[in-house]
Amino acid sequence: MMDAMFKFPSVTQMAVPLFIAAMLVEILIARYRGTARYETRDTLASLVMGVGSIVAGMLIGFIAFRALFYFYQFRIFDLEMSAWVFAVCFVLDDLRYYWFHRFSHRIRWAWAAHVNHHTSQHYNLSTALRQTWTGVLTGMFVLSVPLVLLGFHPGLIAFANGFNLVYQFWIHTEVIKRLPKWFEAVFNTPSHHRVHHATNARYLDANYAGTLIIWDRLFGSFVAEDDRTVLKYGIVQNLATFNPLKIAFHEWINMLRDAARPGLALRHRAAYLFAPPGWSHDNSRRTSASIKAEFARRHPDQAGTPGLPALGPTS
Amino acid sequence: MPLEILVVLVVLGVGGVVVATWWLGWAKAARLTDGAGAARQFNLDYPELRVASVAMSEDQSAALLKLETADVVGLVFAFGDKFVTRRLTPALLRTINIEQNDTVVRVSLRLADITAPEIDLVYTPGNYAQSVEALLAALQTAREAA
Repeated sequence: MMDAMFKFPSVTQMAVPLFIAAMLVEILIARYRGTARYETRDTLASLVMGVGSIVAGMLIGFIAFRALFYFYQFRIFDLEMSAWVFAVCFVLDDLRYYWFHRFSHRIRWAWAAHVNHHTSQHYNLSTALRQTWTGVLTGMFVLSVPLVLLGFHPGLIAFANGFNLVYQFWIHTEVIKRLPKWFEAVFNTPSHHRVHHATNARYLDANYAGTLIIWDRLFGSFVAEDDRTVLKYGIVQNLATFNPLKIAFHEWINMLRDAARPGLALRHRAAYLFAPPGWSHDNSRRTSASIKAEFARRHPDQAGTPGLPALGPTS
Repeated sequence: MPLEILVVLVVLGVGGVVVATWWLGWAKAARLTDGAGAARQFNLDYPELRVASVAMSEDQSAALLKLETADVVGLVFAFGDKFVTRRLTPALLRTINIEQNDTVVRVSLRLADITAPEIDLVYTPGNYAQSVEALLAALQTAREAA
């Protein structure tokens, strides 16, 4: 059974020449049209993170595969390999990706692995490759278990996920402003994903989609890009390091230090691990919710618009 | 794809992209234009904190900011071609070290921040006495009180 997965090629590895060529083209556009920005050390850090992610996948990716193959023996249906099965698998895996991504922003345990991808203050194609080294360790692969139980082969799921990741590569760019309306309505685009990477209060925790933006529209997390707003990329408290090791592990270290602080109640320790990023037992830090509320308080005319809360009765 | 080919592609690709950005001059560090620019950078991250005054370092790579309302000091410093900001709360600030000679005063801030463990700011003695000394004294007092 394990051998079957090796019939599926690694889509992301096959796309490496495309990644490189596309970055070189974007650099040329940045040079001659100025619609993109690169910084040497930032780019190097992103690319080393990308290489490290591939290596980490080779070293510990088997944990997720083994777990999913265990559940595969309990599958309800025996699905044959066909274009239709692949298409359905792709859409369901994209739905799985949406929730994985949403949880990765709302649960610090998962954020510790995912934050890497958001640590660049730049938004270009190299940012797409700034990928996690520790994703498998969060255990979020359990979100694929329902697909496996439905009868989708773990290798097919990985294959579909590979296409999803390759799709997400090209949307990390400022070069493409808007695509045709029908495309923007259905698919994740550079415009939608710029919103996701921006730290402007309105844009925090928005647009979690992988390939299909319909999930955000369906589950209420969609925020459209406003051309009047200058986007600020990165994270709420930006890192001051290009060191890939620190980029990969800083949030794990910070999280575990917080949870191990002396004198905390057990529920506080658990909250440091599983509450949204920025939560603190003494309210000394900012969460995306508090940043949005503060922004809405200072800009009451914008309160209640997409991405911002309405003002409360006492505001 | 055979591993050997993948490794060669990755090495050449990463090298080529990074060298291209360096060759195009995109490795230059950012510099703050003036005090207003430093305050603007700080307020991008902390819009709720009003800046009263700015003590810019001599090379304009960093600045300490006196804040109007909070009992903390702001910090802005260059990071690549961008900037990073911090609120210098007593919990964040580990030590302040000051080295002074006739021409420069070097302020070294050690932070409880794994990604920004130490930040250096260089001032002339005159600028230091006028705008930095009191800020650091306030910081020191806040740390001792915490």
